[in-house]
Parts: sequence; structure tokens; C-alpha cells
Amino acid sequence: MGRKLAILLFGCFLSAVLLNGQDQAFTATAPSAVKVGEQFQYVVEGSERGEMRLPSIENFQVLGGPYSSFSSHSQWVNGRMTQKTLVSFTYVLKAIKEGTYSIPPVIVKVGKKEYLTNEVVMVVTAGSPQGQTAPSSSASPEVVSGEENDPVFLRVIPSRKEVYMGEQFVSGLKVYTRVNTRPASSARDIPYEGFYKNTVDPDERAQQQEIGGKVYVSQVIQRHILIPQKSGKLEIPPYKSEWTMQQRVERQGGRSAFDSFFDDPFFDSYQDVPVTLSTLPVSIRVKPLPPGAPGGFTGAVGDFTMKASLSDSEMEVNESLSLKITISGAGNLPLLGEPEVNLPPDHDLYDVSKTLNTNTSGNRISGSVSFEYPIIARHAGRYRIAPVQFAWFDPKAEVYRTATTEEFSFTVLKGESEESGGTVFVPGVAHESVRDLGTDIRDIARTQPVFSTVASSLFGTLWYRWLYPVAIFLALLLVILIRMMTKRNADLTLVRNRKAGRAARSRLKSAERLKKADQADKFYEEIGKAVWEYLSHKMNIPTSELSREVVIEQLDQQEVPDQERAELLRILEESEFSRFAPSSERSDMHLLYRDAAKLISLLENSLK
Amino acid sequence: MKRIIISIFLALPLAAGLLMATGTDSLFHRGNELYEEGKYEEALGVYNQVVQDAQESADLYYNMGNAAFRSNSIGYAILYYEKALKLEATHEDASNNLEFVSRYRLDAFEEVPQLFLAAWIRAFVHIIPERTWSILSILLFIIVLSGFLLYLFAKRIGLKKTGFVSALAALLLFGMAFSSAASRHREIIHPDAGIILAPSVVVRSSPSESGTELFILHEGTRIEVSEEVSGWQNIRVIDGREGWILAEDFGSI
Repeated sequence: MGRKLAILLFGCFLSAVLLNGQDQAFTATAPSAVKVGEQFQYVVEGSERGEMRLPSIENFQVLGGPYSSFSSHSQWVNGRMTQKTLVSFTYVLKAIKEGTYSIPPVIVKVGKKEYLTNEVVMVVTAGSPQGQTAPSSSASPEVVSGEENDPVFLRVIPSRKEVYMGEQFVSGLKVYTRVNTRPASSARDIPYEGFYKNTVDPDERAQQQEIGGKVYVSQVIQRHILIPQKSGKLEIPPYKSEWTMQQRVERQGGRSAFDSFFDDPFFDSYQDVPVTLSTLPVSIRVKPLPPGAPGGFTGAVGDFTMKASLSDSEMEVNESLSLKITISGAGNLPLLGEPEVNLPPDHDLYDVSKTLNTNTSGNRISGSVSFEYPIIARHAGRYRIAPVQFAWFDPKAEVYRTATTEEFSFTVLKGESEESGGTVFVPGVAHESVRDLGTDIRDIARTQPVFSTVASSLFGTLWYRWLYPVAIFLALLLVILIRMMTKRNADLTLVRNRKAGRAARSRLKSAERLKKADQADKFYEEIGKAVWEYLSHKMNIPTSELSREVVIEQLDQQEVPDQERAELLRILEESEFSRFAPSSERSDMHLLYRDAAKLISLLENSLK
Repeated sequence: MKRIIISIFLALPLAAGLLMATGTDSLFHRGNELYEEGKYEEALGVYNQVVQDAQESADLYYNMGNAAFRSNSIGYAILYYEKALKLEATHEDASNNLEFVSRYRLDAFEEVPQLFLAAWIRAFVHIIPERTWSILSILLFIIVLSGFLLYLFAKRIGLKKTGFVSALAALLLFGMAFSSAASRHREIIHPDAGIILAPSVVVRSSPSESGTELFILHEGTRIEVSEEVSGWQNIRVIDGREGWILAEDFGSI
């Protein structure tokens, strides 16, 4: 600044002393040919200071100006001093349309006098507007600075060129200069594409640096904390910004010893020249995060700690409490996703609110981010919230780390709304089918099972097959045995039966003999015996057990005709009675014998 | 209670197997421990040793199904659950898990509706295991014979009637029990169903690699199997489609 002031003072001093012999004409210069869209300088130069206003010119757009500059110098030639003052007005114009156009004469006011400049004819050709080749011009051309040789250049300087996705780093925009320069307008931020950026105060001081043998002053003008949001090679394209730099104006005229004295930069005159500075493209290699992210990983990269708290451990139905999870540390905090919280069933998860509280001191984003999960209980009971997991990637150690909260539990008390029943309708409280929480298989069986042989079948075993024939055989055997026994019994009866008639007849025969021998007592006894024995055999009852009652019963059972029954009883009675009765009262032996024989032959048929 | 009764029925033929039981029991417990530690594939291996010792039970197959499912093997999980249900049709956990695991199966088929009576008879036959049917059958047979004997030789007319009626009723029940036992026995000796175990299987029109490709079945699908020709198995899917697959691509239930 000081130098500029000195130059100005010096110029004023000279112009005040030497005013004669000045050429008052003003000449306008501009490149004879430009391309559409190209910026060029329109310079009006004269030797007197004045005012100039450029009228609106068709087909050209005024981008900036007038940048006026003033310089003056004196020359001593052959003992005569000539003084020269140089005034220039510079406009930055842009050609809009193709064609040949002229910039008409412009009026320059110097005090009360008005001067006209010459007309400039220009040819505007079609072409890429980015044409960087500076057209030949007598005035200082537009400079696009990028080379390290240039008096001014810009650089994007990232602190690291290889980072993990989500890992933060710093990138600065630095200007290097060896001339006086300043930004033409408030500089835009560099649009870092593919990065989350956070502007940091570029609180660095200007430094002196030697580059290519020349001393530059470097100054950080922008500083950002960047967080890559995708992996791969991310390009920071050239960034252009408009600057104004002071350029030394070459002295016109011949050289002399005096000249060499003024060759010193101190005595140079300077001119403000707009210049577009461009950075070099920079590429950053963004490595993807390694595989094997644990559960609870939501993209956090950095170094964190987690805290969690439940606002209350008790609430009433339809009230709410909130679970607050705070993650603090340094890393990509603004980009963190909320950790997943498994609320107990029957509780609805509402929108999670996120509070970010970060600062960028120390050239890194640090601070905390809080997530608040509101919980509204619908039913009374005791519930628990499973531990929440939060995982992040530590780029320094290149490992994933996990933090886990404790398990929270809370109690929901029966609220008044639920007790008062009908007045407040709580949706879904009255009847609700049991919701399926189970989306898993049931657990294994633990009780000791009873094992059996694989693919064994009782039905297929030989001994089982034999059980059926054996059972049939046994049954048949049983049938045969029972049959045989019955038959044997039946035979015995039959024999006795058959014997009965014969025995009775032999008894009757002996009775007949006794009758002839006139042994009456014996005769009657023999008749009785014959009948009793016959009955005994016939009825298969031993004689000792026979009695009148038993006989009657048997006769009833065998349905013997009443006539025969009566006859049987009569004969038994008579034989019994006649044995002991006096002979006069005895029944006739002959008749009794005949009746007994007749009865037996009758009973032979009716008794079985 | 039912379990106890079945156990008693099982007790007799098991007497010989009991000698082996201690080794089998510890294997079963070892498998359970591995399962609880999350080593599902190892658990499955240990359970499998029990089967290789020619021992089986519904619970064992059920646990094997769980282990297979946890090892992401849907086909084997379904196969083992089906095996468990074949041994014990009323195993509720197995049928629950089978239904759950079946959701992971790829193939979905329109089931050809079974005749009501056939389905009913099938369900009836599967109420109790083959062993129980067999024992029931022989008991009923003895009742038939006893009733018949009673009818033949009872002197009193009332006893005779009782014998006759009970013989007839027992004969009817015996018929059912015997045919049920026979049908369960047939299922055990000649399994007529299987589960596809390969991830996907091309079903061909004839038992050779050159057969026309008819359709593709995926892991876990239940098939009915009939005849086998030199390593190829004739199968029938639930929707009625038929074809041939390699016998190694499925597991018999």
C-alpha cells in the first residue's frame, strides 16, 4: 500500500511542476479480433487525467471498469526535460455476437474540455469462449494464472489425498503472490462436489515462501472441512475466481542513463489489471469402508462415545417418555444416521428428533449429536428396551468399534383414562388379538426322548406276525378241549341211562322170582329199589341224594306228563307201605309188578 | 399322560435298545449344548450320530430340523420336521416350525384337493404311531377270539349274547387297527414321500440325463415318490405333475 501511495505522490508532484508540451489526445485500443464469449480489455489512454464514461455499446457486455490508472514520468534528453503523464481507463468487455463491430468514439472529460477517442473496429468470431490465448494487445492482456511462474496463482491444498469414506479432512484455498493483488469480488466458496463441507475460518497468517527462486507471499483465503460422501476418485475441478492485480506499466520512450535510474521498481507506475485465477485440478482417492461392518453401523466414521438415558422410569398409559442417545466425539457427526432402537412391542416409535451440536475448532468437526426417541405407552405393564448398539469406523486404527447402552426398563401404570372405561376411548384397548411377535422357530426340545430303532416297525417283526396264528391256534385248541370234555360227560350219562332200563328190568325179574317164592316183604322192597335205582341212573343223581322232593323237581324240569308222575308216586308209596303193612292191606303183588314194569317203560320214553 | 402310555407300549421292544440308550442320551445332550452355543452345524453332526446309531425319536428329528434351519438349510429343516411328524403326528412344535420354515420355500403349488374321506382316513391312521396300532390290533384280536369262545361255550343265554356282540364289535375295531398298522408299516418300510434337498432340481420326462426337461423344483418342496430305476426316482408333485429326478437330490421322509 505504501508503495502505491508513494507512486501517486510522486506522480502528482511531477505533473504539478511540468505541464507544458503535453499531447492531449486520447486513444482507445482493443484487440482487433476476439471470440464470442471471450473477455477482453478496452483501454483508453491519454496524457491528462479526466473522467470517462462508456456508453452502452451494442453487442458487447461491460463486465467491469473503468479501472483508471495514472502514471507520469519525466525524461531528460540532451539537457531538456520532457515529462510524460499517462492516464488509462480500462474496461473489461465481453463479445456477445459474431460479426464486425465498432466501439464508437468515447468522450473523455478533462476539466472543462472534452476529448473524443478514436473508433475501434473489432471482428468477433465464433469459437470456444474458453479460448485462453491472450490476443495480442498493446495493453496488458488478461491473465489466467495457473502456472507457478505467474506472479499470482491459486492452489487447492487438501491436508490428505487418500481418505476413507466419511473421514474428515481439511482443504484450503491458498493464494500465492509476488505482486499486489486482491480479489475482485467476494470470492465464492469452492464447490466441492461429492463432499460434505463445513467452512472454517482461515485464520492463518500470510507466509513467505520461495517457489522457483522467487519469493511469494502465500495466504489461505478459504478453508473447509470436507467429508467424502462416496468412494472412488473424487475430482476437485479447477476453480476460477476474479482478481485484480497491479501490473507494472512499461515506460514508453527511449532509454537513457536516467532511465536506468527509474528502472527501479520503486519508480515504476502500476496499473490495476483484472485477472482470472484458476486452481489446478486436485483428485482425492476415497477408499470405501472395509467390509464386515458390525450391527448398529449407520455410517459413522471417527472417534465417538455414546451415552443413553431414559427420561423417566415410570409413566401412565398414554403418557410419553423419551430415550435420549447422545453420540459425542469427532467425526462425521452431521451425517450420522439414528441408531436403531428396538422398542418393546405394543409401543409406537414416533419421529426421532436429531439435535446437532458441533464446532470446528482444531480443524475438525467435533461435538455431539443427540437423538431423542419419544415413546408412548398404550398399555400398562413392565417393559424393557433392549440395549442399543452403535458402531463406527475408526479410520486411524482402521477397525470398527461398537458401543452398547445398558438395558432400560420402565413401568407403565394404569392411567385414569383406562380405569374410567367408557368416557375415554383408547383405541384398541378393549379387545386386541395377541399380536404375533414370534417370527422365529420354536426352541429345541430338551427332555430326554425315548429312542427307538430307526425305521423299525413292530408290525414287520416276525414274532408279531406269528402272534395271530398262535392266538387262533390257542383258541381252536380251547374249543377242541371243551368239546371233548363235554362229549365225555355226555357219554357217561348216556351209559348210565342205558344201564337204567337194564338194571330196573333185572330188579323186576328178581322181584318176580320173589313173588313166586311168595316172599312178599322182599318183593315190595325189590320193586321200590328197582324204581329208585332207575330214577338214580336216569337222572344222574346218586341214590343217597335222592328224595321224593328231588325227584319231583327233576320230573317238573323234564316236563314228565302228570299221569306218569302220579303213577310213579303211587307205586313208590305202595311199595313202601306194603313192605310194612299187614298182608290183608297189602296191594296185589301181581298188579304192582305189572304197573311198575309199565311205568318204567313209560318213563324210558319221557325221561331223557 | 399320553406320552406315558405310549412309553409303556414302547417299553417292551425297547428293552434291548436300552443298553444303547446311555450313549445316545449323552449325544442328544451334547447336540443340545452345541445348539445353545450357536454351533448349529456341529450340533446337527452330533444329532446325526444318534441316527447313525440307528436310533431315532420325534424330539431328536425336531431338534435336527431346528439346527438345519439355523444353518440356513431349508430343505433339511423341512425334511427333519416331516420325519418328526411321521414318528409323532401330534408333535405340536414340529408342525409349528414346519409351517414357519415352509415360508422360506421357493416353490408354491396349488394343492390338488384330497377326497374328504381319504384325508380323514389318513389323519386317523396318523393319530397314533405304528407301534401303538400294532399292539392295539393284537389286543383287539384276542378280544375277538375270547368273545367268540364265550359265545360258543357259555351256558347262560345272556353271556352268549355278550360274547357275540363283543366279538363282532372287536372284529370291526380290529379291522381298523390292523389296516392302520399295516399302512403305517408300509410307510416306514417303503417311504412314499420326500423333500427336495438340492437347491434346484430339473425334473425330466424319462430316467436319464437326455430326458426332456419338464420343470424345475427347489429346495424344500415335498414330493411323492414311486418307482426307482437305476438311480432315478419317479416323483409326483402335490399339484399332480410327474417326472424323474436323481435319487440323490431328495431325502425320504
